[in-house]
Amino acid sequence: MNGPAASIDSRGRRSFLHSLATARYARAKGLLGAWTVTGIALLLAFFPLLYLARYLWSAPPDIVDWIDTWANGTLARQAAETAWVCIVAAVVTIAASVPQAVAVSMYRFRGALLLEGAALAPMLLAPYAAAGAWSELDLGAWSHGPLAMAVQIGFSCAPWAYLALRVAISRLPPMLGEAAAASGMTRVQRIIRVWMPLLAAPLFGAAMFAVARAFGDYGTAARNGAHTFGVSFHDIWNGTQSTHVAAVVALIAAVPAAAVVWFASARATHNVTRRQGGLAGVASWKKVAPPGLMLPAVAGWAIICLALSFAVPEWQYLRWAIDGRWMGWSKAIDVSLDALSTSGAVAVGLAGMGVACALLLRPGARSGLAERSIWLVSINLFIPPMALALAWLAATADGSWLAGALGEARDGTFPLLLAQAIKLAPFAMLPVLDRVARENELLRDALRTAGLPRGAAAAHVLRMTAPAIALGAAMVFMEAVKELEIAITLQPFGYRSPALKIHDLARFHAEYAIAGWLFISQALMLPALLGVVAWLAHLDKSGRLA
Amino acid sequence: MRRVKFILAAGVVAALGNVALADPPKARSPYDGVEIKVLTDRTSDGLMQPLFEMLEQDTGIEVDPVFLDEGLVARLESRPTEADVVITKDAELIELAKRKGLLAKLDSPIIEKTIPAEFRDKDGEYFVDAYRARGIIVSQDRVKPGAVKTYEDLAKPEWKGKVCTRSGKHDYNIAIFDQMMKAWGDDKAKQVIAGIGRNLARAPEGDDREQAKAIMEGVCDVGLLNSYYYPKMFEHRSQIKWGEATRYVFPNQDTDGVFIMRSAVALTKATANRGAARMFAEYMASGQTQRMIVQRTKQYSVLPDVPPHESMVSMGAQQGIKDGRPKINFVSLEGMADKRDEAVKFVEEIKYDNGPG
Ligand SMILES: [Fe+2]
Repeated sequence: MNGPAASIDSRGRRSFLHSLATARYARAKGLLGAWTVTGIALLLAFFPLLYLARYLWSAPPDIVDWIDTWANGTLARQAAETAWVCIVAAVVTIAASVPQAVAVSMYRFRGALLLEGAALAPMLLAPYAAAGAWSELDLGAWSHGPLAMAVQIGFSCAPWAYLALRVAISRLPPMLGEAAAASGMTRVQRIIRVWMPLLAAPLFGAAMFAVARAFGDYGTAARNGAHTFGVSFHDIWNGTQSTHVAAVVALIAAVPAAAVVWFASARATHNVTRRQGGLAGVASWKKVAPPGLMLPAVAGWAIICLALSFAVPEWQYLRWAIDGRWMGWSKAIDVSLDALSTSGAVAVGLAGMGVACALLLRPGARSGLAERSIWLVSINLFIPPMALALAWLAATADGSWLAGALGEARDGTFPLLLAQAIKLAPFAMLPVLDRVARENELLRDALRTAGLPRGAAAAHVLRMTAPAIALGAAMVFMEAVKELEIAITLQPFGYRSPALKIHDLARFHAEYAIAGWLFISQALMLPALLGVVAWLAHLDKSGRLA
Repeated sequence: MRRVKFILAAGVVAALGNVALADPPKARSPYDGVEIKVLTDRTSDGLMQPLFEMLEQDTGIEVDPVFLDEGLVARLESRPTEADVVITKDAELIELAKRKGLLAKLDSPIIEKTIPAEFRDKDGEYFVDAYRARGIIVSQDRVKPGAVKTYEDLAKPEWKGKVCTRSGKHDYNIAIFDQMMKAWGDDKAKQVIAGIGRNLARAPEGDDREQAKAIMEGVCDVGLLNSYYYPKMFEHRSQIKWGEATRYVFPNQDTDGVFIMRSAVALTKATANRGAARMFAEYMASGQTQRMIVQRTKQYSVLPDVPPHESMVSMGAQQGIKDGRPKINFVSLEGMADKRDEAVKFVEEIKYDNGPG
């Protein structure tokens, strides 16, 4: 192309134009890739809601009457109780995770692994199972009711908050603290003015997660006799036996949820640590010995939290298991295999989504509207899971285009997998989105300039994001094992799972029989939990960002 | 010892001989080996699983069940031919399913002959397989015998702050509220429902048995409870004290009778296994199955010659009820379903589920 006759000047101009065109082309390609993955993710995430919205158009006239009756009936009280439960749940989530996460991330001491295990253990106990144990303890309003529900939901979300904080703290730039100390800030000032703003995103995210859970939950609320939105939705759906009324009620929840998630996505993509230049990537925390009384204080707090969130209900189930009858290995293995295969498939499917995000979303400062919008997949955390299940049930009805497209698969596990995957997508995707947002946007260019073939560059990016993808998959797997509401409605014939057995037996108050199924579900989750612990240990050892 | 061994050996020889000489296995029914799908909102461990096993032994029909206690009608609406048979703990739902055109005719002379007319759908699309009374529990210590004898009593001012029930929008309460409306007329029924609502000790929560627990805890003195739950409480170690704290009352025995809750069986529009599905429905109506239902669930059989469970007999005897069969205020399922929306709306209008204040 460049003949020997071409002058240096024109060659330079031409290559400049060429690189300009290449850059434009690359940008357009990046944009296309990012919007493809975002578009697919959002289409799937919003599909249940959009499907329910269809009912608004075909609603029979008496629907206004129903909504009016509800609005003038119990709605106000339910709204107040829901708000109270959401706030308490968020406070418990934060309180039961921050001290432990700070201690383990910033200080070196014996028993750190134990403290970590204690902070993560409640992941093994679904809040509806904790509710069953506490209810039978008969401690009045402390063990049963809206307060108890809020605390159980809060504790069940605390391990996720702990994880988010551990990751966030591990990448705080220590130099910033040293600089602040040098400028004469006291320890308290440094916490409030330097560290808190840097940790605002994970703290806010954790609180939102607890709020969302408390808002939409049915199983835990029903066992506690709490009158929250999830129960309200269930009762109205059951009372009216009308998909139309249920759809309208679910959509009422979606509007504030979308606003909250959009606001949260702004916080999350506005990544503070990234803006500290390369600091975070280079330097890492040197763990120091904990000051004075801090260790006994945190240890004491961790013991209280562990007792309330896990040990007491677990002990209760252990007693019941000893009292109860064993259901037999053959039954137990059948049920476990069912749960293992569906939960595993959901986790694998979402890991695939994580891979797509890692490869196609634009890293770091290159991110744009697409990278922000994809955070909206979190919307389904706020919608009562029963409403999601109803949406999928209606969308895959006989004669629907989706049922036609799915063919035979409609009557198998596929709708259950799909609905659970879309509900749990945030668990898998958020760690990956966070990882991609923190990647240096020049890295991929550098790999290309260095002459790495396309495949090798992609492999490098995947190696970097693999821990986040694996963490997401492990989290999804554990949530899928515990998932109840969607499984009830969309279970195919012949499907069984420990969560369904626990729910079924709770109708008899047959706790001695529930205990066996609870332990089976915990055995299924344990390897994933151990994987998460190993991942955290690796995080500490490498001293690098996830 | 030697004799035992001899007998054992003889037994083994005899058994082997039997196997060798036996005819080729005979089909247990025309549908031996057929698999049918059953959609039910009943629980698996109590009645259904043993019933399915018995069915397979007797007829060779295998059952592939789905147990879902939420959204039964929605599931049927979405996939009308996915299951062959529907069984529900709340027959009102099956009447609603019928109205949505989701059921097929049973077309069974056996069911028409054995099941009394009042327990069969007039168009032959479902039948009631069992029922229970929705009665009252009162505190053993704090409520004098005879102080509460009717549903209407629960609405009297003297019980203010002393009544416990589960949610007014739960199927069991919807069922008695709409029966009140149908049987007593809207005015009286609304007065009584609103009266119960005014007398609530706390915002409705929990299931039926947890109302007995609340009476034990002193939260309230009276509540509503399906009849079979009363003896069932004495089967669970942790619930015996709930049962002991309460006394069961079959209400309105001197007046118009107690309201009942019904279970029901129907065939879906699926046709592939219609014959086997019908045989299963007939099996549910047979004397053998009906006795099993009574034994396992403590409900009443719809067959007049199958006696009530002994626990019902002894509960009834305390009130002077003969044979354990209380007087029933019979409201048809159609009548109930006609009043359902009105009942649910009324419960919401009076903010029943908000409880006192
Ligand atoms: Fe029941």
